[in-house]
Amino acid sequence: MKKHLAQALFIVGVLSSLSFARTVVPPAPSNITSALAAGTADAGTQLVWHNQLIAECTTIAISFAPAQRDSYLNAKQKFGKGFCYMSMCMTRSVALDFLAQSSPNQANGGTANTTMQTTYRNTYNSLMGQVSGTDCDVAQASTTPVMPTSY
Amino acid sequence: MSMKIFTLTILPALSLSLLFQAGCANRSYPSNYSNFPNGSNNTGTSTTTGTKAPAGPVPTGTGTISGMEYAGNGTGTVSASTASGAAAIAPTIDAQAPESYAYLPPSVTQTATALAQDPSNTALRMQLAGEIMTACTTDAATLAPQPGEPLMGDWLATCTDTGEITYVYVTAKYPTQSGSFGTGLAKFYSAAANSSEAGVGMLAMNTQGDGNAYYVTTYGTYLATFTDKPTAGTATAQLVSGGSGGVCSRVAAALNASRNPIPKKHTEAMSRLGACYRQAMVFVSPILYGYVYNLNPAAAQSLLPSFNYY
Repeated sequence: MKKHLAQALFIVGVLSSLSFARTVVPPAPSNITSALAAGTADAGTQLVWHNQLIAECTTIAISFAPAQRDSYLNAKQKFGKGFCYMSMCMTRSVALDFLAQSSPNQANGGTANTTMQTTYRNTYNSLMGQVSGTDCDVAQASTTPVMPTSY
Repeated sequence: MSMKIFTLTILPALSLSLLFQAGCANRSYPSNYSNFPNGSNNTGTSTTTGTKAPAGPVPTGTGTISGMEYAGNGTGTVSASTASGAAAIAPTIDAQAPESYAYLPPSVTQTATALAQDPSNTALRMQLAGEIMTACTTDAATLAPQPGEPLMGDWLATCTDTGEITYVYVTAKYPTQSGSFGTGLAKFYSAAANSSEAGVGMLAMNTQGDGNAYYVTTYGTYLATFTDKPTAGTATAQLVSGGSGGVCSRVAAALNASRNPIPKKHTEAMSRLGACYRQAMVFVSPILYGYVYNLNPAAAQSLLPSFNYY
């Protein structure tokens, strides 16, 4: 009896976790981030990665497209979700670029200033935190942008 | 006993639940997502149709690209500025390289021109990136769903108690002009009398996408009421016969043929954003900028097809 109860609760726990799916941009593969951090990826390789990243993001954002008979309100939300997703992908691209700049590369002439290296890494961490913390299922609540009056 | 149950069952389940939640932050993207750059599913779905500029002849020397002067004067070297690490690029100015600028949105050509004349200017480079993204997102936003669009198509209702009219078709059209969400056209056809258009009524919609249309016929007043939430197989639109109120007083109309443009526009918008982001990223990144700027146009365009977008 206890065993069955434990199994049931385990299944409930797993299922409940699945119900909290969030739409966030997946992290970059570790082999890429490590290569960027170590400065072992040349500019051409970075460009290829960047293009592939945006291409895959686009494919995913397109997959959010509403069905032919979806309602206007649902369609609007899905459009906002796609917009959010693409924006987060761009942010991640920028973050990866900061990571690349934190090591000797073409941009810094093969030398990486220690202070700037730290700054770039902090910026990378900050941007990636923003990306992983943004749930586009929530952020798409409104597709009407409201420009901040001050910041 | 209860504590033991809690320890043996609920606690592990809860822990696993939290563990799954933490690990599932990225779970909702499609399972076919590949770990770039090894993925093989980058099949170019981000390419787009649109206002693609024709590839013109490769300019040499000082020339004009899309009405824009640039400072490509053969091969030369620009001294690097030491203002920042990003400015340490020393791009070799190839007269052919700025051809990619020909495909930038018109609103950014002024900044693009300035950058072409001063390619090591970091501020201009970042300004151009910002302007590209602004232009692109503004462009993509025009493809957002509009109220009434899910209603577009042929709606069919059947009525048998109004004499000669046995079928009434309603075509809901949303006007193409932007900023006018209020009205559209609803076309009414009498299939029994003849196949030609019987009349055109106004389709009014509120900001939630709900709408209604009416047309007064010689056989009575017909009111077609729409909502924006048609479900598969059935429609909530109704055809109401005014006046007599016979068996056709409330006849459900079904969406017979949808011409809802939203799914296609969604794909188009995301494709445009992807193309624009790839383009903008070149100017955001000092590394990529330095790399692409030194490529010949053919190589640059093969790597950055988005350059062909505009």
